[in-house]
Amino acid sequence: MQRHLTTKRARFLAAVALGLMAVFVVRLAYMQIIRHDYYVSQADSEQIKQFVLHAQRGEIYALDGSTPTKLVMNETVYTVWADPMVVTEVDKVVEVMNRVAGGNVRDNFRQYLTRQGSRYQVIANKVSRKQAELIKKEKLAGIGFDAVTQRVYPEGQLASQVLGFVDASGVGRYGFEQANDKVLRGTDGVLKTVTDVRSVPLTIGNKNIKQPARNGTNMVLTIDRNVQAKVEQALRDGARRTGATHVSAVVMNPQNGRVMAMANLPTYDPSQLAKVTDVSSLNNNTITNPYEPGSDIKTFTVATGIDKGVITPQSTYNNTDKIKVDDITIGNASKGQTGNITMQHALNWSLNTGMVTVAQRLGNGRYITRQARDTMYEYFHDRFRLGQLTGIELAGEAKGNIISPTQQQGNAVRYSNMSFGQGMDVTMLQVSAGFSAMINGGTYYAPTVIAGTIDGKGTFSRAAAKTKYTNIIKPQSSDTVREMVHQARTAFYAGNDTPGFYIGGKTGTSQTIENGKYIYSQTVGTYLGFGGEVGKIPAYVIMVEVSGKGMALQGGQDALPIFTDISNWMINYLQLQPKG
Amino acid sequence: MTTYTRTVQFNSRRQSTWKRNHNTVAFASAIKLGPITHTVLIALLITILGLIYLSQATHTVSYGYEASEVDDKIASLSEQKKDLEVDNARLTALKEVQSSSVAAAMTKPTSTQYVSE
Repeated sequence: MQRHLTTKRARFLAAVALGLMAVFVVRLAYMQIIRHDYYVSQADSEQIKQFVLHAQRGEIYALDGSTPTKLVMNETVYTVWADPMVVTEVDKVVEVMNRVAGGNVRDNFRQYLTRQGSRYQVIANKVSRKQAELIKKEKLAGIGFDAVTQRVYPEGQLASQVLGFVDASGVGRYGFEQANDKVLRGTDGVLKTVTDVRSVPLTIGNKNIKQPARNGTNMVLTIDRNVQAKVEQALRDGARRTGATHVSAVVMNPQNGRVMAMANLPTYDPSQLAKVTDVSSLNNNTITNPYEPGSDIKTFTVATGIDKGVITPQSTYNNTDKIKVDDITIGNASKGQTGNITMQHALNWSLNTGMVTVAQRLGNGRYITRQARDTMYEYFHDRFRLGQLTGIELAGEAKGNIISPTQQQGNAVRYSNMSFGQGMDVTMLQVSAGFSAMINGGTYYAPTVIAGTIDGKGTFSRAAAKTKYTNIIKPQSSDTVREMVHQARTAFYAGNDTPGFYIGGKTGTSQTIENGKYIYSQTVGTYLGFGGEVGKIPAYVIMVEVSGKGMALQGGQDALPIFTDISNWMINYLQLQPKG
Repeated sequence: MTTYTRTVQFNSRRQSTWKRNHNTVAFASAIKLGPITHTVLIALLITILGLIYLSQATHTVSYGYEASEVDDKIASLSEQKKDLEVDNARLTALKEVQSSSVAAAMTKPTSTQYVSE
């Protein structure tokens, strides 16, 4: 009887166990077979993590002679944050942070360490790697670090308006950084991998994907840091001497269009953006600010006349210090050079009447006809490319404006004014590039700031030559104009030139326009010139501009000394050989 | 009378169809393995294979950690290298060079002579 009962109980227990097992089996079958995909995805979402592999932004180099040297680099800095719910030793955190990174902590950061209801409070910014390591050594509970990459500028604010900067979201703004953002930025990579509980990537699993980041390209600028530093110093000296509040300069190689220096005052420090109060100081005025170039353009008018064969340096005209075009009378700023004078004399004295005469001779000799205007437009706009984008690899380039004869405003009065640089808007770079073509034998080289690239191994590859336009003017015409511009300098302004070299240039003083009217008490002074060895194509072209609110600044008096300062220095720097 | 007991069992095949060059005797082990033993052995085998798999997988994971550590080390050294490059660039910047003691000791030449090539 007893045995029968035991057997019955055993069978009952076996049945219960079997039933339980059946439940488990069914449940497991449900989970592993029917809901297989769901649970796999649940597991993946917890175990597989995706990391962004950040591409390193390309560095920017300048030239030091012919050797690339770093101008913009990347540096990893850390944002230090606190989790107030985990921080226990508030006093120790405050002491350590003040001792190690006192200059980087937020004002009164102690309050953030105890802020209720928050788990992320930034307590210090831009902490260096060395500082971060020292803080980590203290093993402070609740203190974390976020690594961020920032641009560093070993040369300080040198060429800052050429370079631009990178904003907090990593996007290039202004200058080279903005114009070449895509190339410099590179492409982020992806790492999709199984991780452990601490998010450490594990090498097991067949779902790991690694797509490496492609770093941005390291770019080399044509900007020579020595020339740039000299130009910036010369501008500072010039501004101090003249009182001008805005000073700009461009230095370029007329034999290939490469920009060696571009500078403006006021400027800014790209590593101290928070201190910038005047946003206009971020602009590179040599390309962003079209203006009426004034008498510098007389060289272009003379070049047009010579190339078209309507004048020579010795061609004469009767100067009466005034000339009538339609219903207006144009006068000279320098008076008294009346009588039968040569075109060289007119250029030397910067006489407006001489330039209007050239414009008339491009027509029927007495009037600035449509043919004359078409010719001037062809030379100014189509050949010397004034009023056209140069394609320089910098952000914010302005086009300017040259009124076409096909427009109603493109009449004889307009073109008479254009012959001496008024009634047109152009940038300094356009003028410098066109002038380079004028004195280099007649080839227009599209201006560029890109010298090449540097690969990961540090090999410098030179950039391909940019577009060039040949026979802008005939080589003989170029020789003649070059000599005329040299004579224009020699006549009055060569006193401070280093002897034995071939220097030429032209002054420019232009009134400014406010509310549609010329203001004679507010003028912009410019000087446009070249320098090099005697008997050779010039080695450099320099253009300088000085201006200031309510200031009457002169090309000869205010801009020219800056040109001379840079020019004499360039002769030594480029190791040019004097004649004799 | 001495009796001998066979320790090895021979199964005669004489009853079966006899053919030339065929063994007429076959060995048969005295140890008999029952179905439970077979099950246990298979379970053991599976366990051993499982352990081997687990140990290998763990090994792979440990390699992953080692690789991760090496990656961290590489990243740290790269950061140090970058820091040094920045320091180097700062120390060779124009302003530094101009304010160096070497530059301070330089004097302007009183006259320059040119040699033509």
